[in-house]
Amino acid sequence: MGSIEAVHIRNVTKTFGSTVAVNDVSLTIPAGSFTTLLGPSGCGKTTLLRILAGLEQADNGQILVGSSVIYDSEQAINVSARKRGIGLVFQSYALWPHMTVFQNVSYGLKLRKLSHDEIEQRTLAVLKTVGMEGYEKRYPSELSGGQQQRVSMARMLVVEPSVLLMDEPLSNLDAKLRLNLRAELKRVHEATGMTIVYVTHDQTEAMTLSTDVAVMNHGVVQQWAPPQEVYHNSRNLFVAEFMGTPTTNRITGTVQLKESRISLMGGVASFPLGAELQSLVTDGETVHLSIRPENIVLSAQEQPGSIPLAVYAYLDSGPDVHVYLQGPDGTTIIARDDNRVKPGSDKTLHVTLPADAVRLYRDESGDLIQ
Amino acid sequence: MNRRSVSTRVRWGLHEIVQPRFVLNVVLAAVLVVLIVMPAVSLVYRSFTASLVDSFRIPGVQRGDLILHHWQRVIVTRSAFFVPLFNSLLVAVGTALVAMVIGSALAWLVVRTDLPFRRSLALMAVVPYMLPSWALALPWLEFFKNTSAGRPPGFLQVLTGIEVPTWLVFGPVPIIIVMGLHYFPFVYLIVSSALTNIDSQLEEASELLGATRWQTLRSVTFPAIVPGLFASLLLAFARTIGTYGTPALLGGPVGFTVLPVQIRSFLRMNLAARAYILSIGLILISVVLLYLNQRLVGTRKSFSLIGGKGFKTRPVTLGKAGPWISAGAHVFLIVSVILPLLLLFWSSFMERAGSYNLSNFTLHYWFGAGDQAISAGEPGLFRNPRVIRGTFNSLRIAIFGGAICAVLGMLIGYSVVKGRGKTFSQFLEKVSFLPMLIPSIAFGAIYMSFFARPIGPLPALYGTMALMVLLVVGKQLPFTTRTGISSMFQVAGELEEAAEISGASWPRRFLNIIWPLTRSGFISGVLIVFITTMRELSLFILVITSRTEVLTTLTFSYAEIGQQQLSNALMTLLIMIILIVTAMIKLYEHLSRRHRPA
Ligand SMILES: Nc1ncnc2c1ncn2[C@@H]1O[C@H](COP(=O)(O)OP(=O)(O)OP(=O)(O)O)[C@@H](O)[C@H]1O
Ligand SMILES: [Mg+2]
Repeated sequence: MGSIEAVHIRNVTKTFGSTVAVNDVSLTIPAGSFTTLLGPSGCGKTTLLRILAGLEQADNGQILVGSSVIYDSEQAINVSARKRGIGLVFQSYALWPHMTVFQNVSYGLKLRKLSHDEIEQRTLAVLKTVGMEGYEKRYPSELSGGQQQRVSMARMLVVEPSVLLMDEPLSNLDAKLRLNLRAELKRVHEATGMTIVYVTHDQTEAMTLSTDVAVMNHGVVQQWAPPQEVYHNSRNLFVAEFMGTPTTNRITGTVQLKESRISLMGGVASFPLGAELQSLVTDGETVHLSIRPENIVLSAQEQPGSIPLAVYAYLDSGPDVHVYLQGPDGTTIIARDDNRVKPGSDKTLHVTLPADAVRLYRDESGDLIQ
Repeated sequence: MNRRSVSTRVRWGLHEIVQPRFVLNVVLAAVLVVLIVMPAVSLVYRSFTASLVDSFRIPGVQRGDLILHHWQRVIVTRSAFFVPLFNSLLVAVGTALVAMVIGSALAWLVVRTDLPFRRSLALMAVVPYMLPSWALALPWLEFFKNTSAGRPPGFLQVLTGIEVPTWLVFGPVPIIIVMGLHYFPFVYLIVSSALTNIDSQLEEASELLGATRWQTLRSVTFPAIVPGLFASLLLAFARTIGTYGTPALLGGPVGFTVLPVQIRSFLRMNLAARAYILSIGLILISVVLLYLNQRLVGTRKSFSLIGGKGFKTRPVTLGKAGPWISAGAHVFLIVSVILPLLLLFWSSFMERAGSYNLSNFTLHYWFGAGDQAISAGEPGLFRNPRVIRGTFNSLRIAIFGGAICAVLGMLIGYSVVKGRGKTFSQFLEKVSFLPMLIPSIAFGAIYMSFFARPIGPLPALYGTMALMVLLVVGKQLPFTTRTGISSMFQVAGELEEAAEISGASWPRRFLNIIWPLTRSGFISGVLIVFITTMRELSLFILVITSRTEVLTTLTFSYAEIGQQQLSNALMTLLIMIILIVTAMIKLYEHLSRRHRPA
């Protein structure tokens, strides 16, 4: 305990009855990283965290913290939650209502039979780290949600676990507090250097906080990479569409190898197919083209290769503008336009899709073509 | 997982069985099997088993043989089963109806109107339910008794000279009235909670459309509470059918027999198998009723959705009629609840039965030493060894029963919550609820059939205090388990897991987290079992011996042999104990709510 460790998850599977909550997950969480498990509700994030913490037992697989095995289905090893040296911050905070803030935070230290002075000194120090000094005598019911959250974090930090798990710690707070605590979390991570595994379904949170993101769906890790990589080079359509608000634009097209292009929107538009991709696709194959709203270039005049599209909504939120455009076949495209190009009297804008920002995905598997 | 080697599987198995939770589960399952499953099976088995007496009476039958004889006799002898069954149903239907009329009228008045002094009505309305179910049978006799069979006259006859007809003293009519007056609080509680959940905007809407108050009541209020009414009717019915005291006291002298009474007389006639058969019948009736109720509760949920947002209750104004209705309701409750108890109390100071003058005043029945001239030499309560022993027995059974039952309830609650959905915990949950389906008298019969002889290492428990305590534990388990589950729900999840993550071992978690947070639920569990046990008669009446006599059975036996004043005095004592403990429970709940850092 105390040292900063990596976590190795190998082929971990967990089923509840017929639901496969976690499906053959393998991940290595580097020591000192801030890894986020990101995914829609019910995708198995909490279950994976609870398996790591030892509160739930996987059906299969192996888990190591540093070099020590804490779970191994083949060797029948299952280190109990209390001996794993892993902390877990619950979504509900789970503060003990009958204990004061001080008692809540010092509980783990008392169990370790430290001296009275050391307990007091470490408890006060960690309360200071989370900005809760002066609240020692309060009961949890006398704290605000954000304060309870800080105390529940302090309770886990105080025993200096080698890994800290957090299950949607900010989801019960209002938007403003969430922003503040996000910065706080980042600071705590930098101050302690601890390995943190963080669960959220808020992708902005994931983007801003993490060093690594693992996007999950149906119990399977879809992509595991640094956040920018996940965002810009999403490995499949699910990840591409899950990341980003508003979501990425998906335009379905057909490969026309002879013309080296992809015909879009029923043939009224097309997108040049780069030479390096031509060997990866077959003629007539259906593919999906994904481009994020901020990468679309709009102009009032026709440009080489641009597609004229009808504007049907123009939403100006102050800092940025979202333009909703519609193709002749009904395809909707959302563009974020920082230049505030106004459509002409024909309510049409010319759309250019920069080749380096476009990603192509296969139709059946949804995988990135690269 | 499927291709795991044998040694891995063995090692996982070993892992599993040293877990505290696993050990706990196994122990609890064993306890439930012994307390509930095996006794229930033995009831059925014993109903087919030939006794020693049978082996003399029936040619070719050895003791222990399986025979259909008793089942056949029960079915062909009208007076053995069908007559008591009919009487039981008659009494249950009547009681349920009386209880429903009184209970729902009171509920409506208290919850939905601006009746003056509603709160005092609400308070009085629950009193009968706290008392033994036959508490009113004694003052009924005291008041209405007639001299027709050479008995001393009752209060009414002494006061006015009116001799009421015997059908008003004994038989179905007084039984129904007395039990109806006991069970109406039950309906009152269910219906008032149903009424609280109706949005008064529905009623207002109806009035805006021009409906009169009566039309609104009939077409809006009433349909909304019909499921609640029906449920309370079924539950009152189910309880009545297993009740022993009142029908025995008020039916016995005129030969009006209900199933519980018949069960006891079969046991006294050494026809245990037939008693068990009738008990099975009672259980089946109860199962059907509670099943119907379960179905109803399902539909009732949709009614409570009526409220929703903008929920608001505005009382119905009674206007000028208000004070009159209030006065009427108060008089009714005073006459039917308070005055009878006062009469009971007063008569315990009357030396000779049948006279209510001050000249007849005596403290003998409370403090007197044995005197052959009065009541066959039985000393007054406070000097009567039977009473003193009975009091101690009652207290011991209630305290030990309450404590054991509450501990079991908590532990089962823990197992159920922790292992949600797992086979083991489902087993625990289902089985611990079974006694709910079994009327008290039948539960007594079940334990007679099982614990009367040695079972493995366990000696025969008939005639021991242990059996009495087990009876209480088994019968009350559904209630403490329910409390246990609900208090564990808040605690045994993440609150306990947080302690586990912090490094606390299982005993530590129990001590530091679970116990402090469930203690108040536990204590109210103990108190509730205590109070129910103090007033319980039907559960004990079959298994009682002179050594294990409790206050209720003693009171009943004095009443049975015509020692009226003694039994009246004893009932008064019992009621005082119950009221004091109830007040203490309320006080405790009040205090623990205030101090809880919620
Ligand atoms: N104890 C359980 N018993 C049965 N099914 C469960 C249990 N716990 C989780 N599941 C199921 O496993 C799946 C994954 O659940 P999990 O709680 O891990 O999702 P999650 O990603 O944390 O979702 P959320 O974002 O809503 O918290 C869900 O389908 C859920 O219904
Ligand atoms: Mg979750």
